[in-house]
Amino acid sequence: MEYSVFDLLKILIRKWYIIVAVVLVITLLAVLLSYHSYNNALATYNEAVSETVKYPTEIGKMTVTYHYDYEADDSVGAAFDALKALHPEMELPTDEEKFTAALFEEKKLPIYSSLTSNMGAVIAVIQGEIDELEWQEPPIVDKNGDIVPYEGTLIVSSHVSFAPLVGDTFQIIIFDLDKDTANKLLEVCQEQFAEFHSDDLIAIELTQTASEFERNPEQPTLNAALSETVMTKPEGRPGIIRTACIAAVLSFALACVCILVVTFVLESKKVTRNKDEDSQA
Amino acid sequence: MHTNIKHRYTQVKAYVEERLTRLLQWVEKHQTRSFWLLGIFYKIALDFTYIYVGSASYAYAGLILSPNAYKYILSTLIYLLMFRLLPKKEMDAVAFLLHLQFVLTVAPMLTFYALGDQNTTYMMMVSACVILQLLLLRGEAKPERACYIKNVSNYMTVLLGIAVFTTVFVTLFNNGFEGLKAFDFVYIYEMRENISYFAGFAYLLGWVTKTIIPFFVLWCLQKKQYKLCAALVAVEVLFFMLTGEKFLLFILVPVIGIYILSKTKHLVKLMYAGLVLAFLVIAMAYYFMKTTTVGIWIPQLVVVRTIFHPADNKFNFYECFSELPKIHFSDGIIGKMFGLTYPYAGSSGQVVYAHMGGKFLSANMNTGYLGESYAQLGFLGMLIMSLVLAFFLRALRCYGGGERFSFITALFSVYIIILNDGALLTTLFSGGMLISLLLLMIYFKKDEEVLQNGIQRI
Repeated sequence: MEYSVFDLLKILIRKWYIIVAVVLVITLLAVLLSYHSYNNALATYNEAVSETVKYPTEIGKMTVTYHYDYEADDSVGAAFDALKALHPEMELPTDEEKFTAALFEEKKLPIYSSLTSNMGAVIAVIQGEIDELEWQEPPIVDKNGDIVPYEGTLIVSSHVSFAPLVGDTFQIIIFDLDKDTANKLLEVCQEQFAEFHSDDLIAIELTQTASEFERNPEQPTLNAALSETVMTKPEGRPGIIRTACIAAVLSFALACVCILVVTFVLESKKVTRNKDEDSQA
Repeated sequence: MHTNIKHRYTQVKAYVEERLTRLLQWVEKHQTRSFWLLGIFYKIALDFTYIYVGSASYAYAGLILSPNAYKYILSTLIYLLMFRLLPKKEMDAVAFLLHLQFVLTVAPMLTFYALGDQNTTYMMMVSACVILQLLLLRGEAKPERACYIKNVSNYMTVLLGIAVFTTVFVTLFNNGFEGLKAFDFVYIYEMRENISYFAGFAYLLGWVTKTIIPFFVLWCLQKKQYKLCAALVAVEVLFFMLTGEKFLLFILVPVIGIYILSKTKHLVKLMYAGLVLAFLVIAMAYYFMKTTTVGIWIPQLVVVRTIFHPADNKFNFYECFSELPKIHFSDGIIGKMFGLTYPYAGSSGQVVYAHMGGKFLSANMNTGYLGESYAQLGFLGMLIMSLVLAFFLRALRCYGGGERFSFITALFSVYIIILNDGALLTTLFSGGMLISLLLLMIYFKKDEEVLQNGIQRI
């Protein structure tokens, strides 16, 4: 089939109503779609950047404050011996009878501080207890925010720390565990801590004075972090007039092309049909 | 002695000619069998090249070697099924283009899928789309359906000539002339960073360099006007020196090469044989000249950059846009038409690069239409683009055959090569693929096999 430029223009002019209809429909569609697209893009952006890791249970930090005391054997004399054993550098009266209860109270403080200097050894003891109990590490989170079970015994040093002594109080902090597990671990810590520092002469007493469980802040997934980098928050709704004008121009071109293509296809099918009929005849 | 050498040469020439004639006779007698043999050799060569060259040199950047037996069997079955559906005929432009897409895009993806342990779902989507194309293009060409636009070729030639000259001068004025410095392939990146064009000119430049000049180079070859052809090639090289676009330097090599080889009437088979031979040579170059520039550069350019890296990128696009929101055509002309909001702060290639761990906006990861269409609309997008390409090729088929075969094959093979690295809609519009079809409609005539002169002699 052959067409001149005028033939093509004639085809388009004859189908002017289709062109007008297509332009109007697409322009209207563009105005509606642009709003919908903007709202959708905004919602998608907000959803993508706010995606957080969903843990199966609430994970958080448990901070427990203790009043720390130790009790010596009934006799002050036993306390005197305990002090001498623990702190040979400490200046103590040579005469045991001069070691009064008041003096004893005064000298307690260094004992407290010495007990926090070997926390690594304490944690090792607690780890041994945990290994025997065969407690497992909590699941880890992969880059998509999916929870993946972790195969391995709970690592105490990753979840427990002891805050430095202030006066006669100190804290045991347990982090990145759920409340139930934290409480159980706390009991073990408390028990092992007291036992580690007790001996024949002194017995450690821990009196809980405060306890707080603070949930971990929600972590964004790696996808959320990536989305925040690569996505852009839609700035503002597109202008109606600008959208309509661009849609009108482009849809006009599209309508012209579509009319020509459809005309070509229909004509070509007619030609093929005629050719087949001629060959059959 | 001179007579002896001449005599010996004549003997060898006769021997080689006799062997070649017998080979050609065998090939012509056993067309289908020779296609299958070449197809199988190509598959083996591709796998071998991936393992011993591609992965060996580029594993750090994604071409990992992690073969999976199940995937290998599946990919081989898909390869054989697609090869079964591919038209096994010569002198058919669309048949060649389908084979070209197969060797350049699909087969490397199948190899990478099996040997790099890639995603099965995506590979199945790609296979479904390509098989659909092959089924839609199985019929015979119907030349009576071709449309032509008459009486306008003269004006078009003048207009295009003006466009070429105008583009040269505007580009020269805008970019300056770097001279031979442009052949420094490191410096050209610096050149390109400093180039910017006024609104719309980039499109004109693209059409002139990727459509109009190649079209008229082929036109000159067809009309045996070699001086004009050489002048046009020089203009294309000039454009490369003005813009630093490597593609412009190399685009005419496949165009002219395919045009010449198509005259042998065994273009498809030559392509397969040539690629198998090329891979073998490259593997040897890599192994024996690994420490030299040639031993590094050629495998990088041919095996990695052209064949397997685009395959890797398509899977990367799938991985990225399976997790991030789809684009829904909001980044192109459809988005402009419907006022769609583009959700990203960079191009899709830049987003994928960031998703792979790179710094956002620092580099662009190109991908072919099978990857880009997934980013647009998922599997539906892939189907739509595959159908659009299939219908385009169906329309193109009406113009092929006879003397036109070489011309059409050479012209449109460039677009199939581009589609391994670029989006379909971009290639159709700003890439000039539609304009090429329009030029065919203008310059070909209904009852004649050859192109008409664009300009009457004054």
